[in-house]
Amino acid sequence: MLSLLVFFPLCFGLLLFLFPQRLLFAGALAGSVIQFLLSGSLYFFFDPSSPHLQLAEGFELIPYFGVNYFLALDGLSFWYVVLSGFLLPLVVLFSLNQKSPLYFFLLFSIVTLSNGVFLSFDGILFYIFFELSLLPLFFLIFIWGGKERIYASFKFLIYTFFASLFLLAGFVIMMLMNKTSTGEISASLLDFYLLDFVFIQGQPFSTQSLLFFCFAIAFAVKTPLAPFHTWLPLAHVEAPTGASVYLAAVVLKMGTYGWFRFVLPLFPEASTYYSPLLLFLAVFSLIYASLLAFAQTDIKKLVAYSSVAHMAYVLIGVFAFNIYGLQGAFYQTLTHGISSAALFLLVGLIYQRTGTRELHQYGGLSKTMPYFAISFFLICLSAIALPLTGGFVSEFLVLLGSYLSGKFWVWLAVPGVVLTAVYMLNVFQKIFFFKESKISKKLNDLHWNEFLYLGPLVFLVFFMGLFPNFFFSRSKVSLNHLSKNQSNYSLSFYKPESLNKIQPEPEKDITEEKGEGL
Amino acid sequence: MILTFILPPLFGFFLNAFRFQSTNKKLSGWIGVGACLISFLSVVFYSWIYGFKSQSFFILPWLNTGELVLNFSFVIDSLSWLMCLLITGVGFLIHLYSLSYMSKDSGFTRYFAYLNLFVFMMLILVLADSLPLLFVGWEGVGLCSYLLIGFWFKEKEKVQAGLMAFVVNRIGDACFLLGIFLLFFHFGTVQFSELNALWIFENYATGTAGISPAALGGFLLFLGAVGKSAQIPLYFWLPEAMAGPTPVSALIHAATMVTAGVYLLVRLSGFYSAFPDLLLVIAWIGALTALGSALIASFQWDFKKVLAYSTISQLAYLFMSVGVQAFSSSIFHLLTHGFFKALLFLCAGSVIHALSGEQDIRQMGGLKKSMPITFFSYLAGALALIAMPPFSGFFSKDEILWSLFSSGHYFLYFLALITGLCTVFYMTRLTVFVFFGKNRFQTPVHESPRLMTIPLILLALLSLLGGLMGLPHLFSDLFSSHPPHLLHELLKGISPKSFEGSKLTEAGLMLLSTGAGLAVMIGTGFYYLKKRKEKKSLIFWKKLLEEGFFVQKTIQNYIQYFFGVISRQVFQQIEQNFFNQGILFLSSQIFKLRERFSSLQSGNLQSYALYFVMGLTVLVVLVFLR
Repeated sequence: MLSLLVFFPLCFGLLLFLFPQRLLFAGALAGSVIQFLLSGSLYFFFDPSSPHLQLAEGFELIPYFGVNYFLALDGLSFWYVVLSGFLLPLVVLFSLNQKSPLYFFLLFSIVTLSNGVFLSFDGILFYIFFELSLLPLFFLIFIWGGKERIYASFKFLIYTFFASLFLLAGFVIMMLMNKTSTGEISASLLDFYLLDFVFIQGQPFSTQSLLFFCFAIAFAVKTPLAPFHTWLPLAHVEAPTGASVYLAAVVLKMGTYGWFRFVLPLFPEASTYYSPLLLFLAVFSLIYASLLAFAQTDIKKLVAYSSVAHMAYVLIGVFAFNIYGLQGAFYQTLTHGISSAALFLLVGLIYQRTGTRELHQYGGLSKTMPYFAISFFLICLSAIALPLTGGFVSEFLVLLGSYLSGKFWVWLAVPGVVLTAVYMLNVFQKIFFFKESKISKKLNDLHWNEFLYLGPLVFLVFFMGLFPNFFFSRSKVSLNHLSKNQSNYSLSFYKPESLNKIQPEPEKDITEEKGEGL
Repeated sequence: MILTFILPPLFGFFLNAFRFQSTNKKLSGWIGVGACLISFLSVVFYSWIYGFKSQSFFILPWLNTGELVLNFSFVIDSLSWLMCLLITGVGFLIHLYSLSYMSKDSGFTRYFAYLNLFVFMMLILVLADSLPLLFVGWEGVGLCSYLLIGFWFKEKEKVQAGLMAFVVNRIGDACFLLGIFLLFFHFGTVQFSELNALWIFENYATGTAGISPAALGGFLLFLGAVGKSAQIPLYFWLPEAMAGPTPVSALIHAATMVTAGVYLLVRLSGFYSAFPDLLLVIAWIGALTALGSALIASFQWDFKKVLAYSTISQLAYLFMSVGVQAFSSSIFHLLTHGFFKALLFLCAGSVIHALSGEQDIRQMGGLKKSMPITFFSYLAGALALIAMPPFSGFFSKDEILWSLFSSGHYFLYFLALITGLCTVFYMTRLTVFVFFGKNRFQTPVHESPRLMTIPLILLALLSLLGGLMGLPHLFSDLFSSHPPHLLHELLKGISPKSFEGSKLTEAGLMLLSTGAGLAVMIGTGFYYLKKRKEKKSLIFWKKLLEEGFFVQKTIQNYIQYFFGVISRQVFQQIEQNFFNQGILFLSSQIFKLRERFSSLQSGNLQSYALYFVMGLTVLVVLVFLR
């Protein structure tokens, strides 16, 4: 099941090369809808009452290094898989006029790789998916990007690739440590959770701190956290819209997912000890990116900086360590996934019509494109985190959690609440209010395909604000498990008996041990 | 049952929002008015059927994490019922008035959609049973206010005024959020009933609560109220908010939304009663705001700005009254103020409408003959505002003054009295300028259409008779058959403190304020009717007050400007020159390093392999050498 989810888009993407030109869009749409339905059908297979691994499957990949092909699903990964499947049809709908099968192939392969990232429970497999996911985006920017596409694509590739190397180093160290402690070399995440890393306060080169920093750097770049964010605005500005949507809504989530999946459970003492540092960076990131967003004249760059600011909330929530912060941070990744995807689509939509993203060229657009104006406004509301939108629920929980954890940092994060409103409404006004500019006089309102991809996003923004419990119910148990057992975190399999058939030998005895704990 | 309060405006909003481009103005207008009317009728009928018992209604679960359980559940007690009555009743009249006032506007449907959304959000605000749900309505009305201030979005100043209102409110809202967190942290609850009960039983009784985290939470919530109700230091958005259509100013920026801050404090009366020191701070902020804004109002030339500053000053009365724990008097004045200030704004709208958009009172004059209905209803509103018996404002304001005096805050009482006299001064000045004297307007002026004058007349009647809700103790002795104080009876639950004092003092205070008021009124009237020359020596002070202590100008010219400059500088200096260049420098160093290490590398892909191996070796070696 999970392998199907991971590899279906890739295979379908390859298949698209065989489609005739006329049927290309239809084919891509069909494939994306199938992928969405597949990922949506996880809803029926997934049992949210257990934090343990479900639907696990795998085989040995490189037995010598203990590397396995090992996919599984739990409450942390469930929504991300659904999210990346959900966005695919929308992005395809946006690319109505795209003639190149390569473009669709690259889009589909991002879904493959991101699903791989969210589902793999083997360190090396995770790393492979994590790194490979750069490639489709790199090519999308490199081929379909704007003026500075070459510089942007290489900067994106090198920057993020370099950062992820720390991840690999971390995994290798943990594999070796596993060998010294149990005698077996293993890259399985479940084994990593059982390892005990020595933590010595004040020594950044003690094992746990060192590993913590390896992972923290890799994920801080990906999340992104200022000052490691400089690749992001550039990549966003140059990227074609489809790539921007996936970059913001899914690829950044690989970074935030890493904090939940690796950093917090693996290095509990180090994360507590260094949390002031990360919180400082997160608050700095929030205020700083909000200020920068206000200074931008390129709409897309503004949205990119607002993305950085919103991701800072995730870090603030994660390092609150309590259920409110974690739940809020997790929810923030989802709501940001929806609202940033929508914002990038909206910016792309207007860029398609006018060919410019300079703010001062716009004005009075609400007269000529009222439906566009309404959608933009409603999405802005979620970015501002107005109550009844998804953004409010997540920011409320993040700040609440952060406050409850007794950190005074939250007081510094509060100006962010005001700044977001300033820059978001400022850009909205400049595009849609005031006198009509030359450009905005001869524009058409939304087409059918635009209604089709904006409608669900606008709907979701409010659905997520009104019924957050629907989303919480899938992730709650996992996050509770994380917040309660942070210092001795472990995961096992949901149904040990069904697993013996699938799982390779080395995994077996460990599973049985943990099966008793279930 | 509660849904019949809340849902009609929401449906009205959706109906109009989905057909916002429609040219059928009549239909969209009547949808808006009808929605509000249904809501009003169901509020009235509710009390018929259920009485004023406190009842809570659970609608939907909202969010549920850890120990935090939030629901969409509402509570109706006499306080929220009265607020609903005000919102839907006055709201209905203003909707009706807007039918005619906005009839020539191209955004007619959009206007009614916003207005209905506002009523919906306001109802959520007053019916909410917990702080976060109240916050939903709180931010919702802020949003509607933003949209309606900038309703004519082609004009930059109006949109900017809306943005200023939203952002200033947002500053208050941020404090509000912190207040919620603090209370949840210390008491584990955000329900009003529990917060109030907690304090009455534990701390109020023992009187041990001093400056505690809980008091800080109360203070933060109060800061939220300061933003919403336009008190010092967050008051300056309200005069700017007058950029919106005049009925909007009447509904949102006079009668309902701006009173939400006071409503919040009264809703938490049990909680606040535990912190007399905090309440004193509230009272003092109220007193300063009252006097300051009354002074500024005395020198404004814009019809609506006079009324806006007057609103700030009247709201400040409410805070003073809350500050001495006279919660129900505060609500009394809130209601009567809702009637007469809405009336005054609507009259202003009627005048402005008749003069095709002129707002400067120096260009008006002698309108009492050409616009008799507007004039007489205006007179009712003005007399109520300056608290002349038997108009409603007299009873409610007198009660506040009385509770200030009888609770021993003589200086506060004195400030309130002075503010009252200022009120008399600026209202008389306004009346003389607009309705008396020569007609300074060129074209002939006609009375507004009936659809506009009917709400005026109804509101004028309310301003006249609203005082019957709460006759003072003095009167209840005279007419023993009449129930003493309807409102206090209704609001028994919320006012923990009662005010005692001799009847003689009460009568004396009444006579004092009324007599002084009459004197000021006659003096001002003659002064402005006879001669209009100002003394030169006072020109600086006059200028200072005309400009409202230059607060708006400073903010518009400097703070906004500096914010832009700072953000651009940060972008240029830190982002571009420091972070970006820093990364480029680092990478160029690494590239140099590569060249030094290996001359065989050609092309980028191989260099990654090199980094890969390098990084790996360094880290692995670091670990294993230890």
